[in-house]
Amino acid sequence: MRIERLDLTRYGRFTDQTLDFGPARPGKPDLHIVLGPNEAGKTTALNAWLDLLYGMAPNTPYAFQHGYELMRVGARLALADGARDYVRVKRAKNSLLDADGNPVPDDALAEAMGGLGRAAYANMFSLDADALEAGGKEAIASKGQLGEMLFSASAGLGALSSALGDLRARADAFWKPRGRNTELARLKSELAELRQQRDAIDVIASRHAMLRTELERCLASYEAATTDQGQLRRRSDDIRGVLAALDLAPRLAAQRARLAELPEYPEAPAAWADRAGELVIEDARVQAGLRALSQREEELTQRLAALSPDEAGLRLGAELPALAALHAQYVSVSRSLPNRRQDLETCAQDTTALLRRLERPADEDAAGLLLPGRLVITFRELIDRRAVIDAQLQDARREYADALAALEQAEANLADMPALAADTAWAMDGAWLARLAAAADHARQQGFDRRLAAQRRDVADASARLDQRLQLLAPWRGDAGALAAMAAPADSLLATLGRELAEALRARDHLNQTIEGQRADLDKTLAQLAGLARITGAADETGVAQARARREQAWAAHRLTLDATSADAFEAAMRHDDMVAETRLTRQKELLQAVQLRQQQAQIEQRLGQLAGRLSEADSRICALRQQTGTLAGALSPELAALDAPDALADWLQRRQRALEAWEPLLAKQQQLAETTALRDEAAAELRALLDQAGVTGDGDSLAALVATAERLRGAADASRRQREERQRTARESQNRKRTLERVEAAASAWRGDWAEACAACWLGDLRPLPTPAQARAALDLLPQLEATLAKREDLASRIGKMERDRRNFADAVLALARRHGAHDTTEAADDALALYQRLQARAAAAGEAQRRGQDLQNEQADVQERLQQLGQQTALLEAETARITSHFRVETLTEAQQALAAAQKRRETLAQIGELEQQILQFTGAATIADADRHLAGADRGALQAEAATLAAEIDAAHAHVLELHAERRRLEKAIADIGADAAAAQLETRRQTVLLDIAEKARGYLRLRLGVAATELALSAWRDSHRSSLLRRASEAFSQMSCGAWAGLTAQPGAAGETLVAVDAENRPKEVEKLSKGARFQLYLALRIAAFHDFAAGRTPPPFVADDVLETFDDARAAATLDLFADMAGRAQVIYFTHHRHLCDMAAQRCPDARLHMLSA
Amino acid sequence: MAFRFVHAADIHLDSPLRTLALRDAGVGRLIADATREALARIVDICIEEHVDALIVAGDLYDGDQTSMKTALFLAGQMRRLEEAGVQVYLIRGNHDAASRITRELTFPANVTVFGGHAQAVEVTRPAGATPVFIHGLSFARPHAPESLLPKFKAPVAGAINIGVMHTSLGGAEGHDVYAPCAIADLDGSGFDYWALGHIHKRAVHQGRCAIVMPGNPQGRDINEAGPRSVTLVSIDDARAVALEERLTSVAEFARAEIDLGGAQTRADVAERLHRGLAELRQSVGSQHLVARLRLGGATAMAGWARRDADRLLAEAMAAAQRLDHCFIDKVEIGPNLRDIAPAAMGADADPTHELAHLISERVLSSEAFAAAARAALSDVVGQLPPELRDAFDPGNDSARDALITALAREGAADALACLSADATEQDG
Repeated sequence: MRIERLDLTRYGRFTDQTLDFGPARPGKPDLHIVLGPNEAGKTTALNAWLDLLYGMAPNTPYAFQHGYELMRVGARLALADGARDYVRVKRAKNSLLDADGNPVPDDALAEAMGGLGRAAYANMFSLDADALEAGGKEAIASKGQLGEMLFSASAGLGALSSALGDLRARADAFWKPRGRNTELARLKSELAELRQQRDAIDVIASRHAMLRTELERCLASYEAATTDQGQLRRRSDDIRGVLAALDLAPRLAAQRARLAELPEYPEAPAAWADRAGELVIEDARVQAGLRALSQREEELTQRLAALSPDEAGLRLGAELPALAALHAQYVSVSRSLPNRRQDLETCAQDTTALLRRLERPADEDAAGLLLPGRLVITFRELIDRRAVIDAQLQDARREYADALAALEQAEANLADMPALAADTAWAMDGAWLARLAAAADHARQQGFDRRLAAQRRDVADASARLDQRLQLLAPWRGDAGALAAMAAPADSLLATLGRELAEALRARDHLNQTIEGQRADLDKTLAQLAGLARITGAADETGVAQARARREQAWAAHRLTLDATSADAFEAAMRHDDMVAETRLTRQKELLQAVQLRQQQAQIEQRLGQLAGRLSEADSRICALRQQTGTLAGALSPELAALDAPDALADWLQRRQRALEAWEPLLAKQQQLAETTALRDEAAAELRALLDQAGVTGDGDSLAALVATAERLRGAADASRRQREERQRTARESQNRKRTLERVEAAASAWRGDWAEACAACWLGDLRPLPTPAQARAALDLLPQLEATLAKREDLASRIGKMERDRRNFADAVLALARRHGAHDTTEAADDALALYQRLQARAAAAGEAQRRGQDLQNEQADVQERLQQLGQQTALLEAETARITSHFRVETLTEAQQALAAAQKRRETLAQIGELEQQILQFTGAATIADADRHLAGADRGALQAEAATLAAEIDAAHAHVLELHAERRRLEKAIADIGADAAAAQLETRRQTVLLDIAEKARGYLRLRLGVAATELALSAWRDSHRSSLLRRASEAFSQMSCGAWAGLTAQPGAAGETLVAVDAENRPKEVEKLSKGARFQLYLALRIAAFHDFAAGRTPPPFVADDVLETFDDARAAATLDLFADMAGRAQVIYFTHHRHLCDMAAQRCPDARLHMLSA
Repeated sequence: MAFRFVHAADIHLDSPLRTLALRDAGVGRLIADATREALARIVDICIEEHVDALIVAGDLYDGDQTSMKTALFLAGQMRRLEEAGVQVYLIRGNHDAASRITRELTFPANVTVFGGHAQAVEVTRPAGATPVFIHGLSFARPHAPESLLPKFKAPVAGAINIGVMHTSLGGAEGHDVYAPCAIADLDGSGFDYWALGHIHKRAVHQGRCAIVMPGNPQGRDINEAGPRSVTLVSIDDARAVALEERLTSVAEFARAEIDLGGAQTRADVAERLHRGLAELRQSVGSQHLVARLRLGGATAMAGWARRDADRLLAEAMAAAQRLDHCFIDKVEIGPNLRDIAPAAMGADADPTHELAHLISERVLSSEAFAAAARAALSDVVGQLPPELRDAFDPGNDSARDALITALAREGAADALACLSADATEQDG
């Protein structure tokens, strides 16, 4: 099949684009170069072709412009039975239409593809840069494995090795020998864990049975153990009882003996034993009481008789309380009176001191010195006013003096000003001065000197740069002007010359190469001919002709002579001729080959002749072009005539341009410098003119000096004006100050009048001279103190008078009382009222005390008499009770009765103890009567019993421990059975375990499929390799060598540990592993394999169109050209379409294969 | 007054379900207790229908079932029946004979377990009702090579006679031979109803008497696909037998063939899977469906299905998720799933085809391959858990070679699909 025309009607970015490849041209290579710039849609066109053949994918990405509904690709295809038109649209069914728009089977074209599916066709018969890249990687991934590389190239499968590697890795992930973290190991451990979990929670039937049996056995053991333990305890208790009873037996015997010894008395009430003792004690106590009381009564009677009362003292005691208030006041006043008198004395002293401070006589009436309040205010005001006036007066006087001094200084300064020169008048002229200042300011602001320095530097730099570039123009010598004056040839002319020369040189190189190749061919041919000549000897055409000619000559000679010699000669010639003829017959093949070789030789020689002609043409063309260039250069300058290479000349012209470019800024900079100099001179001239006008002789003629002079003049004028202004200002100031002083002095005089008037209104006016304001203020400050002291003195005097009156009142009252009761001792000092009062109080108190003591004695006496009577009655009762007891026992005294009572008590106690002991013994021994018990004990062996008891104690401990153990065991078993439960947890764990087992089985099956599948594929690849290697390897080797322009001699297979590997062989016949080849070489190797695969396919079938998309991008020109030759070669077997965006590849293709057809593609 | 009872068999309580669907723990929570739920459902049916009795014709548990938890659950269900006044008649099957848990278990009073000697137990019935005798025999050993029918007592005249027997009948695939006997012999035995057990597939014979093999009430793997049930039986005083099948399976295993013919994209495949599953779900009456899918048809997606089995399974699970209670057991590549490559003209035009041809015609039959494959198989089998080894090590050479060839064919097809992945293939 081939494509005659591809219609990209509506597909991707294409609308109505057509690629017309035309019908096949028998005998000519069917090679098509499709030129389309980047983005022109080369890949899209390729996909459109595949879609036409196999249908569009349901979600094709090429619908972005026209939409699914309108997408359409068409083609005119040359099929086995002729050319037909087809159209493919995007539909689920009936997507392929014939020329009339009628549907044909969707896979009609796929069938015409010779059994190749879309993927297989795309992989095998289309090639792009990505496929080359993948192929290069495959070379590394497969480590050059021959089978894999050949197959991957034949099937166009770039990632064969990595796909196989992935499959192996997937298998290894499940399990691999000595692998640790495999999935199988993980699943197995999960399995084990699930079983462990289930075993932990499950109770299996056998265990349940065991638990039940154990429980029953445990229950029986428990009952037996508790019974044993009971028996032991009972026996132990018995022995303990007998031993205890044995301990009691001696005590019982002792009690019984005591009882026999005790006498017997009549029974008496139990209380008597205590009562008899009490009666003895009470009697003694009553008798003692009677004695003590009688004694006391006698004593009291005597003391009452000795008492005598003081009647006057008692009356005094009744009246004294009325004086209590007066007494209290007297005591208080007597305490404070001396202090008040002291205070009064202090006041008098204070007053005297104040008068002294007021400088008044000590005896003067101090009250007369006090001033009325209004006058005091007047004085205070005047004093304050005077202070203000004094301050103002001081300030005004000082300021006036300062102003006068300043005026004097200003006049002195004015006088000191140096006299200005003749220019003074001009300096005073404001307008002139302003002009001068403006001119100077302008000159300074312009900064001429700084600018000029910078511009000079710029000029120097630019000049240096120009010189540098001019030097680069050697051998030419000259200045920039001369350079600018040159007439340079046109760029286009030079470019043309350059291109033509390069082409001519390239053509010559190519011719040389070709000639060399042809010569090598000629040498080879000649060598082959020489070899053949050795074999055929003289049997070639010339030899035959010579032999025949010699035979004919010999025959002719023999006919003439007919002698033996001639006959021999003829025979020899005839034999030689026969031998030659025979040789010709036997060496027919070699001879034929020799003829062909000679033809070939002739052809090569002829071609060499032609080539030599073309070489000399090329040389003369190069020469002419150089000459033309030299002429152009010489026209510029004779020194340049040697520049005969257009490139060199163009280069020189470029340098010239750069020199000219450097000249322009120099000119501009020089111009700037000149302008600035002119401006500076102008400014200097203006300044000098102004100074000349004023006749000033400056500090110099330079602009700087002129500016300095102008500045000086302006400074002097400014200073003079400032001095005059200062004198005027100070004069005004002194006038103002003088007026102020006069005003203040007037105010001071007014104050003095007011002061005299105020003094005259009081005693201050009596003073001569009049007091100053300070003195007056001191006096005024003392007057309030004086006033206060006077008031205090008066108050104290009044209080002392009242106190003395109170004292007198008390003394009078006491004396009166004493006299009334005759208690006044005339010898006593009349004024000691207090001592008298205290004596009266003492006497009244003594009288009261004597009266109270008599009363107490009388009370006590009555009490004693009453108690004596009570004791008499008690004595009678005690005697009656004692008589009843003594008569009962028929004894005399209570002491005897007590002895009888004690004996009866002792007998009772002994009986009770005997009863208690007997009771205990009965309990301990368990006997029915005490007699039985006595007998039992009499027969008991204490030692034996103690030994038995010790043994039993140990046995009981052991039995108890056993019972506890059995109890715990029973609880455990009961709980274990109760805990089983009916839940599904164990079953669920088992289900999970089964699921993991299923999972393992499934994955193990998957693993085996992978491993066996990979193993089968690898074996199949070996078999495939064996059947295809010879043809593929040979062709690939040739293609690789040709494509690499002989850099590689070819490819070969090398046996290795892991099977045969493909190796490249370099020009020196050294092998190199493919994974060590450079990237570019690997691309070429893969391309060579693909080309070989194409030819291998073509050997048995007609291949479908082969489509390549810019696969030569990474190839250099020579290799690209060689590869195009290989494509042209392929195009002899099938349609080959090469898409590219490089125009030079089109040119190259046109050159290498003039029959190739060029097509343009644009979106 | 009719005698009504439920006839069940082969409950295999707590026997694990075997499906890869259970790899999803969520699915496990829904269906892992299915055999328990099926038993509970049987008890529910008895109680709801107020039947007189439940007859279980053997195999309460798996033979190797040893958990007392299982036995206690069974006892609990029996107690429910006791409370509802339903009698239970049990015989032991081959599995129960081996089981130790029955011996350990104490049943409530309503349960009659037939012993090793044939018994005919009369059912307590209201006055005036036709007497009912239930004949049973529990064979004490797990193997019973002879028919047990001759050991049964003769039917009681004038009464309804029901025989309960665990038997493999004439033999059935996947079931051990156990107390074999012929349908015709049972039919002519004079009994009114034969309640059979052992074979897990339901079968009913109604001739002179009714002979029913109810099948197990819950399928446990894909080999026990289809609905599972018990039989509700009613025998009236005239000894006429009426049968009613009652669904008991909680989760139902089912297969579906999915035709991918013409599918061009993954979306197409997903759609086919969903459509196939939806149809299957429609036809399944049990609450949960566990589906095994087998793909077939000529499709451009055949290579993808082989290459990307994980995503294929994910697509199937996604399709199942769109349906109620539907889970995927497995997705298998069927033998007729193939690529839509046109009929090959030159058989070896495509080197990949040539490679496939070499594998099937030369490699698989080569001794080199056979030796390598046997080594690979024995390597990995030694690593597998003992329970699985038999499946991978058939014991005789021809079976092993057949296994290897089958695995290698599939594996090679998978490998070639991976090698010739079409770079232009589209997702979606």
